[in-house]
Amino acid sequence: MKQAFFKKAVSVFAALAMVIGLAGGLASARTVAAEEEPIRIGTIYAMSGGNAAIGENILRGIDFAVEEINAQGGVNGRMLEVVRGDHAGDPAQGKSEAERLITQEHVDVMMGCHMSTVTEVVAQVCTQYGVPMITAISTLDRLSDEDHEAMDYFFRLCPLNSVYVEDMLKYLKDASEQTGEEIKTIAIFTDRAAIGQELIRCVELYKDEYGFDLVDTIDYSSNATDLSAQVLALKKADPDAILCDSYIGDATLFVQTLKAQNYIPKMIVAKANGFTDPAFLSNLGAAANGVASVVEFNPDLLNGEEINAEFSEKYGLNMNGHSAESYTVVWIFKTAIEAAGSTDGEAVRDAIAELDIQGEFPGGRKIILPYDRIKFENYDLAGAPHFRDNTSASVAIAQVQDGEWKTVWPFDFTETEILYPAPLQ
Amino acid sequence: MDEKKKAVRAYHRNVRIIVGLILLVFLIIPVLVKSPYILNIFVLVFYISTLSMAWNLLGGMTGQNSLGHAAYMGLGAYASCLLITKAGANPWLAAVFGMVVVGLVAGVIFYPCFILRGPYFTLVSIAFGEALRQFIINSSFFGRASGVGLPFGKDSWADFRFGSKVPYYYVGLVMVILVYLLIKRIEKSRMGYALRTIREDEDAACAMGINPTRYKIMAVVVSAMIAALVGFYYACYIRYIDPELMIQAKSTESVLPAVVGGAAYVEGPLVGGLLMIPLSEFLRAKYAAFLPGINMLLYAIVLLVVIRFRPAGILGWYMHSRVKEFIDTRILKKPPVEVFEEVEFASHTGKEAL
Repeated sequence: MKQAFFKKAVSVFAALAMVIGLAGGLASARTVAAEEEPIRIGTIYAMSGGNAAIGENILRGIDFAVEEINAQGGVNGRMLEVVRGDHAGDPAQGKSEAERLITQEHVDVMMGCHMSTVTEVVAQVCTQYGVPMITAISTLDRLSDEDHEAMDYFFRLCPLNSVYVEDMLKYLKDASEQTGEEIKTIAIFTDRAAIGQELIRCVELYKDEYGFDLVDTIDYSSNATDLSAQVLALKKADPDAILCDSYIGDATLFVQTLKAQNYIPKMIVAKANGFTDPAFLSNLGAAANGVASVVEFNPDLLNGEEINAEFSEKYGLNMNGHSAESYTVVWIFKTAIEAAGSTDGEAVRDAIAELDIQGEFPGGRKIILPYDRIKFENYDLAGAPHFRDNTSASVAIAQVQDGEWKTVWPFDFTETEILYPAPLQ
Repeated sequence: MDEKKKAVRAYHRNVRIIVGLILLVFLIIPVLVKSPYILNIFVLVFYISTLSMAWNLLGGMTGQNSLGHAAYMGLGAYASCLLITKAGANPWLAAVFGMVVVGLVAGVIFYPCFILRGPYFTLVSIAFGEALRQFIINSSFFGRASGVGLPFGKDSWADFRFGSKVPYYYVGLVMVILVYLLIKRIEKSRMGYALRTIREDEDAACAMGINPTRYKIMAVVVSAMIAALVGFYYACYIRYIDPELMIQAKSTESVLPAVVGGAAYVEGPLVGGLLMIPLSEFLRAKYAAFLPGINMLLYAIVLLVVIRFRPAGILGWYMHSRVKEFIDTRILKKPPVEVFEEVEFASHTGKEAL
């Protein structure tokens, strides 16, 4: 009886071991990549949960670039293929997905993510496995600072938060050319969440250099139901310009409360997020007239008009900053893989590091973003070393005029004049 | 009599062999499975099941449904991370520190809350979780909403930092086993009986001389300390934490494995975790790319089916199923109940006679 039981147990155990072994074998079966196989681009964005709409815009830009490149014959004769992962806004899930895309799907390069905190975790995984990664839209300064110097497979195309805010301040300075009035005092109105912390930090960093007097900093908790107290405080401080950053619900409520309190600030400059969400204009209509915001791309930018026409024909809507930046990253990967001559991680990484694109991609489009050079460099930002950022990146400022976003700054990229003071009607 | 004694002994031995084999399988998985992605799923199973066991000590054993366990986990993660980054402490010491802090906070805050019963306790636990999260978002010491990152660097046991999954796998496995043994011990102890009596009827427990508040506080402190340990493990694994870790949805995640596996059993969260987490990962890998969100829909359907048709959880069903009967009688050779009682009675009286 004793032996019979033992035999049974051992056979059950052996079967289990076989199943596990088989699973392991299957997982590593596909390793050799033939020349004809497509080049696989892994993408990790939120495709479900509260940020799914943002992920959708990004993926449109990627798909658009991939189709364009494949139609031209691909990269080194190989087609591009996108393998999607969903992080649903959770760093732990981002880590899982990065590991799945790299070890199960064998992606050659990686793009991501939408939230900088998830990007940080995913970039670590990519560095560990030697998979080159470029983020199109993660703006948190920290990602390229000293603590992340060793993350040497990770590059950033978009401007850093401090560049966003510095450009906002530059705009305030330059605006006097058109408005005839100089801005002296500013106030911050923002979410208490991470986006707001970054705005406050960056304004503190640059306000003295540009000679602005920060008269008040007013924050609130995300998804506020009432912003009257905050708007009253702003009214009391009465700054020349308000700098703000909010998610869509709060951005809408903010402008509505301004109207309700009958307080019309002369200048409102937002750091994108909710203010550039398509719902912002549909929620507010004419009431948003005069609100300005940082944009990474705008359909009326002189370099982007042509591509936006094709894009909107295909998808029925305009390209936004996120789609334009991720579109550009696919082109960077194409150029780098061609320069490297293979998809070997180290070779592609070195090619990205040496890339210097001026004006337009070889055999492709002009740079459609509001700057004309792409080069990843190590440099000093406000006294702190940073690594592998695109140092030429900058943003444009657009303003709602007649219910539409019109680029108003930098003055070289547009012909539209600033609407001043903001009418909010 | 000897024949019966032998049968009982044989049964116990068989159970031990099965448990040993299961353990052995888990021990050799990292040797056979080289895919970091699969190992990552096991790591998730380990820490989420541990968190769920912590929840189950309160929810299943004591009948106090907490929806604030993400807050304990987050606070534990914060306490240990801040000690590591600000004071340069050894992570293993920081883990103990985090557990003590969370145990104290939970004990002090919940002392007045246990005057409340039933749904009121649940409401307080939700409020407590959110209050803690807001506190961290508004405190610059905690890094506000920006979170805390742990330093990266070379593999090191002293820093509990590895590029490979394998060390995390084994530490996670040890964590699950130790927490399981601890809770199993509590279940069989005086405290376990007291907690279950409180769950069934608090007034009756009082009448029997059990002090419900005392035992409930003990349960909350132990449960919160385990959650803090999980928070430490999570932080060292992901190497970044922010207040999002403490949102309500994460607390619900700690409840699901217990409910699906069978909240009445200490093993429930383990069974639930082993089934539901790989299922959720599988659905995401399979469907999320072309039908975003469908994975969650399918997951929700599985959940609803389990709760509708097996309200006692998978273990609750198994315990009264023919499968168990078959395994008990055919594989484990479990003798009938009368034999057990006879043997036990005999051994007791035997001892007394000595």
